[in-house]
Amino acid sequence: MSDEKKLAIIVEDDELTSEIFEAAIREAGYKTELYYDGQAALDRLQSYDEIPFLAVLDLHLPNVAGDIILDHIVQDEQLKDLRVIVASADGSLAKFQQGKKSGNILIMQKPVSFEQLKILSMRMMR
Amino acid sequence: MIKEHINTALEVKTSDPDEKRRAKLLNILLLGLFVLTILGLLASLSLMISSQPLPDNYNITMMSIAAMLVITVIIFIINRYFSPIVASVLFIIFLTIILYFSAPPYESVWGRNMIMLALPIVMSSVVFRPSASFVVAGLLTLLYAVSSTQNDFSLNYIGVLAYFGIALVSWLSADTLEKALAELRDINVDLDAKVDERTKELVLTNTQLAEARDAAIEANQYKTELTARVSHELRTPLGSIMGFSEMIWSGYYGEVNEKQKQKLISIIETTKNLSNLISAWLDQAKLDSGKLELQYERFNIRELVAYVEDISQVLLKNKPVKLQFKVETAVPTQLYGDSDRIQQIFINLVSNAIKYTEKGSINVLVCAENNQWTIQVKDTGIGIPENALPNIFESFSQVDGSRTRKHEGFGLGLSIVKHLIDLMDGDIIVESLVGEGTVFTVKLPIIEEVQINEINMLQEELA
Repeated sequence: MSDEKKLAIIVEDDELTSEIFEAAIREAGYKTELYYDGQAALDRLQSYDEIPFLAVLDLHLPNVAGDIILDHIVQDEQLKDLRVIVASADGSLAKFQQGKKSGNILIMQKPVSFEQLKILSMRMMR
Repeated sequence: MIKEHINTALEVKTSDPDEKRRAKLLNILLLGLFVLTILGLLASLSLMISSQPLPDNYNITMMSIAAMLVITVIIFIINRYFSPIVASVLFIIFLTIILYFSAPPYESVWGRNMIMLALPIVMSSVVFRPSASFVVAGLLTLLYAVSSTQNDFSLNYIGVLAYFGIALVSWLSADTLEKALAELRDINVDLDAKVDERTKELVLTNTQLAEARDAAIEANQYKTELTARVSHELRTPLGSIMGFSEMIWSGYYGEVNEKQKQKLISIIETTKNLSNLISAWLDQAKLDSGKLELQYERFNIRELVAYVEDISQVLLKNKPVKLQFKVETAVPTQLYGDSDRIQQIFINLVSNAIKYTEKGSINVLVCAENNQWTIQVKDTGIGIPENALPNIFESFSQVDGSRTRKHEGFGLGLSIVKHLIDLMDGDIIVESLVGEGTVFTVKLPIIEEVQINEINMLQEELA
């Protein structure tokens, strides 16, 4: 049963926030992988080993910033189907990419509601 | 042009204003005398050309005219380049001699020429010193005495008395005139000093104003940066408080009773209010410092409305209010604009409607006509009193105390909406009836892609 679940990766350096995100995404019916570091997340995405269905991305991350990861996602043809929820205090950074890949990227301003994240990620799965 | 040359010729190089005035007056008198002499010369020459028998004293007259011309020029040169005082003394002596010898001695002492000899007395008071009139009157008396003795006629005491009378009047007039001119000069100097002082004060005030303005701009920028940083740092812990409260409320960590659920809702609501307040605070700070820039791009209005609808359903919770969204088919799917800010306008207006509507419905309609597209948010809420409508878009504005107590908020939401719409060259109208509801209508221009490039270029230039 769990193998049928879609994969979502959560990239968030704040432990408490990532715990909430993980819970919301799991409640929405995804299986999850958690990354606290930008470089680790980017390496994971570029390994193309089971391409995730959804990425929940913070913009302020250690080592590699979230907007760089977002740029890679937008430019990478193999990741063209990846949906992204950008959760950041500064949503305007992701504007350019959103314009290029309208529909696949949603921006949520922090503080992100557990319920809202759950509903939106469920809606993305549909 | 000629006037300028004459003025230049009459100018005297001295810094003393009184001396300058006297010397200039002397130059004018010399010029007049020069012109008269030239006219005399011309008259004498015309007499010679007319070949009539010449008078006996013709040669003496011609020599006198020539001498007068030379002396006039010499006095002019002395006055202009050497000493105005010496020149004025020479002029008075010269004038007295001309007048005295222009008639027989008896005529000068007892006859009509006496009147002409009063001229040097009057002139001396204006071209030399006011009191010089007495000296000239005295010298004339001496001249009379010598002349009377030499020519065996009695001294004209009445004439001498009259000369001193004229000297007195000349002295009084010239003295009064000089005093009045000195006062005028003092006033001018005082006025110049005051103008200088005021100019300095004005320059100082301008400098202080510029410094105060720079300081205010700097303080405003600091405030915006501080607000942005504080806002950013507050969002993460607020997110944890809100998220965990929601998780406990939803039963994620196990069963919770009704009372606990109610308190959790209070925590969640308070956190959301705090979060909205921070966002509004940051936006207002950006708007105040002019740092809020719109990011124009292509966006899908139907996706944006669907997202707003999802968020709004969560905000509505269990209120018995029917929330409906509709985007008319005439609205182009792809629009240009700052989608984040447009989304903010939607959410602010809808959350406002939810806040003030306890039952009934909230209808959100998006339509388009000509070069405009419209957002209409219509609710069946408590409404806004007519007298409060004009101030509804002002910062920190909430309708009244009771509304403020029941409906928490910072009073910045609509003010920010209005600012954003103004930035987008749009318009917002509000219509409301107390007890029946409120309609907010936002009109925004449909922008072409070419215009977007121009706007972006303009923003880059301004940055």
